[in-house]
Amino acid sequence: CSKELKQVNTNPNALEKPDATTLLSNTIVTEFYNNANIVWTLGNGYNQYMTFSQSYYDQPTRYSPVTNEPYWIPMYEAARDANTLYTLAQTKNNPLLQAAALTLRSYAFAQLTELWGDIPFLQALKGNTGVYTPSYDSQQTVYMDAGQGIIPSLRRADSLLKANPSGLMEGDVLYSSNTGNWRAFINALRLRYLLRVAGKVNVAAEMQNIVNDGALMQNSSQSGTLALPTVTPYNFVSLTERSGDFAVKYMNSTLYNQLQTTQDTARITTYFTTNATTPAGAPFNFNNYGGMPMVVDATEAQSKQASNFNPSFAKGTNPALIKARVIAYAEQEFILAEAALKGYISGSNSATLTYYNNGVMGAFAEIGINAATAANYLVHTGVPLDNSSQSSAMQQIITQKWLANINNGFEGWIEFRRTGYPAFQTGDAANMNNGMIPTRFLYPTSEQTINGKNYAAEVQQMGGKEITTYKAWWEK
Amino acid sequence: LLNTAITQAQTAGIISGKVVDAEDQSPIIGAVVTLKNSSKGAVTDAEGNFKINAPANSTLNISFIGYKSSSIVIGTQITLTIPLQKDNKALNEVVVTALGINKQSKALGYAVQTVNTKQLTQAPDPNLINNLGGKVAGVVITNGGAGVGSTSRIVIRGENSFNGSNQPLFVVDGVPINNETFFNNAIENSSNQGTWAEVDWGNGAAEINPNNIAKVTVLKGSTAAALYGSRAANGAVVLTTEKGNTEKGKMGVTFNTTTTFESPLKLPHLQNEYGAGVNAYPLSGTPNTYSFVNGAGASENNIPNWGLKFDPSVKVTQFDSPAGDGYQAGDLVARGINPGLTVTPTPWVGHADHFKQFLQTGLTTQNSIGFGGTTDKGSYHFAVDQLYNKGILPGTDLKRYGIALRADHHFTDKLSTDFFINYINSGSSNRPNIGYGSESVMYTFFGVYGMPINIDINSLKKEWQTGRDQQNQFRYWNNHDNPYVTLNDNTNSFTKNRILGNASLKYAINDQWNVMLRTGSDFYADNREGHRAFTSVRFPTGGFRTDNVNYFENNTDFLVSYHKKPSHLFNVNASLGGNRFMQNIAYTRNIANALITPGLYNFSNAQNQLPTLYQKFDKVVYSLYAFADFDFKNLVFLNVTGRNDRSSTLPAGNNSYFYPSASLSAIISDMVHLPQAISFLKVRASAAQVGRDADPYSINNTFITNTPFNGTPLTTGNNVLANNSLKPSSTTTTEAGIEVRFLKNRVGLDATIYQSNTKDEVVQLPIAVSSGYTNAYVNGGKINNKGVEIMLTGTPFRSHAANGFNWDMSFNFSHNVGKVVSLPDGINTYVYAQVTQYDRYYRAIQYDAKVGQRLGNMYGNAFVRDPQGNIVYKNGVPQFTSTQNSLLGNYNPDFVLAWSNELSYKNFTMSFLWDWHQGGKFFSYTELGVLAGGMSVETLPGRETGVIGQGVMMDASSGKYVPNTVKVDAATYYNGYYNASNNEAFMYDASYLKLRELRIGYTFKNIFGKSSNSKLNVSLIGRNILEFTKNKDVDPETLALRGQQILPGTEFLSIPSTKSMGFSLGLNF
Repeated sequence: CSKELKQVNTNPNALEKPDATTLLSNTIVTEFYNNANIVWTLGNGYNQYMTFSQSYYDQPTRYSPVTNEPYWIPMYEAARDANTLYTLAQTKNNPLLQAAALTLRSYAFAQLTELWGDIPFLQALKGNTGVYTPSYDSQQTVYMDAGQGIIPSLRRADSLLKANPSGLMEGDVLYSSNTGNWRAFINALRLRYLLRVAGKVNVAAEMQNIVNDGALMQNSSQSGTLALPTVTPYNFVSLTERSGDFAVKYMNSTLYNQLQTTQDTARITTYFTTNATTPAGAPFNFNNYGGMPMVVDATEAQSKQASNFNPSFAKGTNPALIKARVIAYAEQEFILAEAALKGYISGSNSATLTYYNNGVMGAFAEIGINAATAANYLVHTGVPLDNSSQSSAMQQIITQKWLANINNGFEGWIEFRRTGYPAFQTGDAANMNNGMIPTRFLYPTSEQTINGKNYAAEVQQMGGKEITTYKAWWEK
Repeated sequence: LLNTAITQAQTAGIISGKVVDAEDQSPIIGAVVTLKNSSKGAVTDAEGNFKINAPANSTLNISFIGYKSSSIVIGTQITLTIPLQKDNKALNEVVVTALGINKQSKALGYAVQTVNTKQLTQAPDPNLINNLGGKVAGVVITNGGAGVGSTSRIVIRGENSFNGSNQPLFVVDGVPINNETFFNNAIENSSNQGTWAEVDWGNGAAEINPNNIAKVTVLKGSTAAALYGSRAANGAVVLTTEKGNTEKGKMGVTFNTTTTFESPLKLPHLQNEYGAGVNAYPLSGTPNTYSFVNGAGASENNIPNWGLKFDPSVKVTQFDSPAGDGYQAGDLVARGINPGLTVTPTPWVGHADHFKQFLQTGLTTQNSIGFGGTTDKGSYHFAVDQLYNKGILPGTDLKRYGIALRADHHFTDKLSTDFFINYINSGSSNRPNIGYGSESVMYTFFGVYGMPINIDINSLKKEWQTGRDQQNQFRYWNNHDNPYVTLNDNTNSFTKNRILGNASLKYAINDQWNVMLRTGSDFYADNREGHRAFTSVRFPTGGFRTDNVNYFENNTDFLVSYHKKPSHLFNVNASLGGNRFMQNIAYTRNIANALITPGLYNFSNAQNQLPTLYQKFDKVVYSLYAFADFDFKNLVFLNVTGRNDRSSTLPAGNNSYFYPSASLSAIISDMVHLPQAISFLKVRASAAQVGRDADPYSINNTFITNTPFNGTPLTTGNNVLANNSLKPSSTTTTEAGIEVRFLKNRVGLDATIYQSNTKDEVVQLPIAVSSGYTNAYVNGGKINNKGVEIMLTGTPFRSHAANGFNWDMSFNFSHNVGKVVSLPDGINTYVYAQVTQYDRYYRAIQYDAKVGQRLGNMYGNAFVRDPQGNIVYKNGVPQFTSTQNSLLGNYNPDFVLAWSNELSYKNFTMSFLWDWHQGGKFFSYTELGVLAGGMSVETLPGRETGVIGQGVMMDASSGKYVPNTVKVDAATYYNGYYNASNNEAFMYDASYLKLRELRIGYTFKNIFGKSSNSKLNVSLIGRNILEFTKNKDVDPETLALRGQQILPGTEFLSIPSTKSMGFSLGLNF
């Protein structure tokens, strides 16, 4: 009967050993899909691309302190699967799989630390060895720890691929085992995180090395994006949300002002639709579009003059818009523009200009707008890079990066926190975070209840009470 | 002829007699004396005397409760004294204990309580469990929230487990059956398309025909249930089916039919003064009012009722406003096709009774017929039953048919068999969705932004836009489905075929040794089907799903029994048995979330179909058990049991576990001389343990498959960490009780105090997500339950005349407190459940187990208060916490007291049962909806003038709290006060007093002639006809369905509970 008992309790519904192929696919899908999923309801609000017209939905656009637990969970899950994958890849002696695993794990941790600050890290993902309540590590450790930190891990990933330029990795739904694309993706991410910590660490040498190596994205076709299916459960949310939920999302006035200032006809029409007061068939006019400021409940007048998202978001007619994006070619170029501007990499002003223009062109290409339109936009008032001062150039670079990152996670908000660009509205009385733009999400409630001791220790650093304006490391 | 013969017999004349107690010769008051073969009778008076006119040589029957009935042939004497022997057997009815073994209740060292078929079917509810409500002390029954057919919760002596179920084991004729609700695999965490809401498919025991149950015995503690093994750790409800019990060679027939009509017990009180609108009366700025554009416009989204005051002279464009050519404003597609149409605004009037109009009168009919008989070699009983229910929500129903046969047969003096088989076919054309989200009509009416008061329900009877049948719903906004479409088209139907039964073979080797073999199975196939019409909020191009559950369990036992009376003082019964329990569950799910052609629900019509989900859950437990009963002079009884289980769900080294029990009882009244007032006194005590295993597949880590991505298969680590060193958990119960009867058994008291401790429970401990896992299987935690149960029975009135007025009553009282003594791994809080709105995880009610606190505590956000307890306002709006950790209350009642009564006069009988649950709190999502949405009458004050909230605000200059003086408009105030995230605003006292059952009947005797022994009972019956509770809008007795759990303490947009009234007819011959 012992044999029978054992046999009966063998799980018929799941594997008892990990399978690298399907685990890799799942980790990629989890990270990309969740980024796209969160951006539509929360990210675009935090990034000030979108405003909800009704208080029922207002948490993201009014900065109500929220935990954003539905994002915390899949990021740790993805990090766990990536970790399992890394171990598997080592056993299999597959450098490409190792590199991918390191990258995917690093990206998940980067999202976590950039959205929450200090996080459980060195002790994290060890539940299977009995560590149920990992302690918190400083943000600096998360980025820099020589063993597991984001930057050293990405560096190791790149060098693994540099040494093993060809390889096969089944289940790679991102780049189909193209190590060149993987290196470009890894290095773009390296640049992003190096720039993030550039105020704290001298990153110039490493950035220059990356540029010298040249393993970078050459155009938007290499962007770290994943085309999502149009059917549940992995579709871009706008395709399957209730029409009523779609209808309460409006263009944020911060975004409208930027698009209007630079007469960005192409992008305003791609992303948004004319407001309710515009008669059908009316010729294009910026007055037929509108942004909604941060409001408690929009008045009818406010709703009528503001633009909803383009109906293609609900119908899926523009596939370029409804991809999941982690990092695009455009962003890489804007990072390099800033790096050149600040002298982290060589080339100074002329390089800055080239990278900036590449970024703008790339941003248009990314959402399927043709190069001619993009080139035309480059000469609109306010668009050509003004190199006269670092601050004016920074403002333009970051603002264009912000425009390029619509529908990409929380990048716009993170970069605002780093650079102050573009100027976000604080929303006065409508702001639910004491009139301030938060710098982080609250830790999930489960951290208080389950990981209470470590949580309490972390909160001590915030002055004894958890706040949304605590600055972890690079923001200080 | 026979009657004439008797009347012509020679008359002895008036006989005077006295009935006395055989032991002490004290008079017996109220004994019934009847003349055999006659309708004559008498009842003894205060001196025990009676008079009766009887012929010579006739026979008198004398009976009195608690005494052995006596017959006496009177010959020709005319005065006599009749002694009656005390009958402790009668006092100590035979009860069915574990494994279907009958025992005298006086021999039991633990509390059991029995409910007979008459009590069970007094005012029958379609769910067997509900019929036990109020009838057993220590048992708390909560009716489900999804109308007839929903799962009811039964908890005996409190919650022993964190795992939510805490349900007792159900047993038929000694063999366990399944009482679980197997839910569809549905994770409802979003309002997005393709999200199917959870459905309550009803609990398994609900399906048993109560008319075919002779007796229900509730074994309350683990003491009583020790022999059923782990699954009886929360007690056992033992059902004994009807057996043929007529005189030999005869057949008896019983026929029962009941028809009841259901109407809502309580509906929310809605205001009828203001209609849809975001804020029509701001203190400053532009009014934000409503008019219909296309159902998705800015002002018509999430429509609360902060709009304009109703006034027929005000004209507003509404969805049902005429648009010419027979079209209406809501015929959007048609209007698009016919561009010349213009909408004429219609008067702005209220329709606050739209939900009432939407409901229909429910109808329940239950018919049951039973034939039973006895032959020389055994007996048989055959029963057929049928149930039909039409719900109060249009289009919802429940149907059930059952056939049962029980028979026993003696092959020889030594060898006999007994078997029972029951086939049940049940189904519904629609089981309504409950809970939050557009799938549920309750949400459509009462969710936050439920149906605006100005909506005329009659207009919605046109389900589809003109000319767009099955294509485009006709409705007032796009986040709600037309409620008629929801109920008529978006159905959740099921057909369930179930066979349960058992068969046993007994062989008496000699006077001392007996052997029994028994096997019993419960098998069902439940085929469920979901339909969603085109343009449903979550299914723009429709949806179709099938869910099939195949359940099988088998219990096979052997039992060897030994009986010996070594001396005249002692009596020994001992048994050794073994059991093999096997459970196989297979679940298959197919879903298509988009269809090609409207109205065809088949996978051949799928635009895309999700991969089939197939899951299996198997389990085997081998057990050996033994028990022995010793009695000493029929005065002292000792009972010991032991059981050893080997379960497949635990790791090899830990899968075998033993648990014992012992109980002792003594009949003090037979041992010492007690005051005359005390007719019976028994004391008892027991201690028992029961071990428990784990869920299947808890010991090995796994990688689970996710839905493929564009055809690419995905696997991910299981978020629940398995544990290969799990060990069994255990519950230890100790109890002590006293049973005492006074005044010749006229008053009886049975009281029990108990304590139970559960330790090492296997829980899915939530662990920090940063560990890489959300939960880990661990052993740990201790729960302590303490409580008291009191049963008081009495006869306040007993007539001295035959067929006079009699009144029997009983009280069942129970009080239980469950406490969390410790939690696994020394953590302080374990969130074991939560109830959330679909996409608002931060608006949850949390069910937290906290060390040192009561189990059943609910936590959430609460008002911010000053030290004096006043609500703190800011800018005129109440402030609330956001940490989700304020104690909001406990859902368990402080005590439950039921009072049942039976009155009779001549052929009239009346019975009624009051059920009082005192204490406890509940959270109401219906209140949340009607308050936050401006629908409730409580949101009327200050509508046009603004409101200054009662409370305090921080005075910036002094830094002190001062009374709030900030006036805000009504929309701002009520939205702030009744913020959906402010859980405290929707907590209510859960105390209630219900008139649970009422029956008034008349019995016609001998309708087929005097000797036919036939009876026809005609009764008016009612259930839940009155309720007294603090909340005016909803019934606090309700359960939520969330995360595949049935949870108490939350009214989750429940379908209104019903009062039902009707009649029944019972015929026996």
